[in-house]
Amino acid sequence: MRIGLILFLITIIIILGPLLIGILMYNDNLIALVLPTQETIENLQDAIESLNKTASFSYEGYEPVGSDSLRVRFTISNPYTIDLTVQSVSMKAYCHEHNTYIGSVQAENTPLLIPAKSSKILNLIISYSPEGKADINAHHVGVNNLYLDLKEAQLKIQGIEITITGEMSQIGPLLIPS
Amino acid sequence: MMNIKRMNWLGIASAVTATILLVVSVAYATPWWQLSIAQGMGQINLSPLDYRAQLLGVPIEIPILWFVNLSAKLLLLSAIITLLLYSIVPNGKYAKNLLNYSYKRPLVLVIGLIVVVVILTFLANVLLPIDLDVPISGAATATITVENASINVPVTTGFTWAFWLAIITAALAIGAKIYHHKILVPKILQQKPSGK
Repeated sequence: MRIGLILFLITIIIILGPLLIGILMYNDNLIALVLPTQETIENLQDAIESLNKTASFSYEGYEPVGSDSLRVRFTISNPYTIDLTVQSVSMKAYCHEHNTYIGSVQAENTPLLIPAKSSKILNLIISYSPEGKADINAHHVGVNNLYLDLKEAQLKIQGIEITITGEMSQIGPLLIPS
Repeated sequence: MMNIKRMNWLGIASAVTATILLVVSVAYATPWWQLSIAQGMGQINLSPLDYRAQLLGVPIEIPILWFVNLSAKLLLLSAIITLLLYSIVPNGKYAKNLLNYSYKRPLVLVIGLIVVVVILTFLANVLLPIDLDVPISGAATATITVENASINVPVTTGFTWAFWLAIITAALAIGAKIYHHKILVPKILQQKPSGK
């Protein structure tokens, strides 16, 4: 009977003891015991505020890759407090002047890790479609007048799939050498 | 007196698995249940013995959970010690007290975790301002539509191997309680002739 009582008391001490210590430690502010710490709240506010900033995507330059494709370089910046990995990018490129489908666009250097609050270069490869190649040969070879509209963009960043319904228009001018 | 044949091996096995559980949960922070938002955007690693959460890389610390986890750690540690003491000498004077004290503790921790997980997923489904049905175990996708973009955020939840080890520990402890009656029978049979 005595051992039963001792074990019962041990149970009570084990369950209530730490909680009582917690209550005593936070005696002057019991709400702080059950809510995230002030430091956590402040850090979370900063992180959530950073979500209001959108990752910027700026055109840097281009270079032809053989006769059937083009490499276009963008700087992609990560304004957030965590590292981001760009896993895939796909979109469609159209000639701005003639609205011809130039070709499909795929990321070349993915997965691309962009550390928090920094930038990296993202290379996109445009593979010409037959009509795109015909449009380029007919109107843009040797002339610095090709502007691209990038549409139907689909990005996978950190497991998050983003479908952009808008477009990035008038990327260029691009000079396609003869 | 220790008698290897009379030891409660189910109790010893339960104490061993409970010790492994305590070590992996505390020293290696192995969760029993996990929730992940995308790939590292947010995470909750939960067990009765440890709690770790982060959102957008910010660790979320709630002081009371540390004290609750401490209670659970001490509860499991006391169960391991008493179960081991009982299992070595199951016919001892205080064996029944030690067994009754210890055999339910692992089950209590498992049930406690399941209750917390059910409440947590229910609250997430009710309180989050997005269309998302967080499962207790499985995958879901939150779709957020903003200007010119549709964003699909994957959310996965699931019990880990440590949870199943906890289930095995609880089952072995209950098995030890059932097996205790079989150990007692020979003792009673031995006592009857001397009583006459």
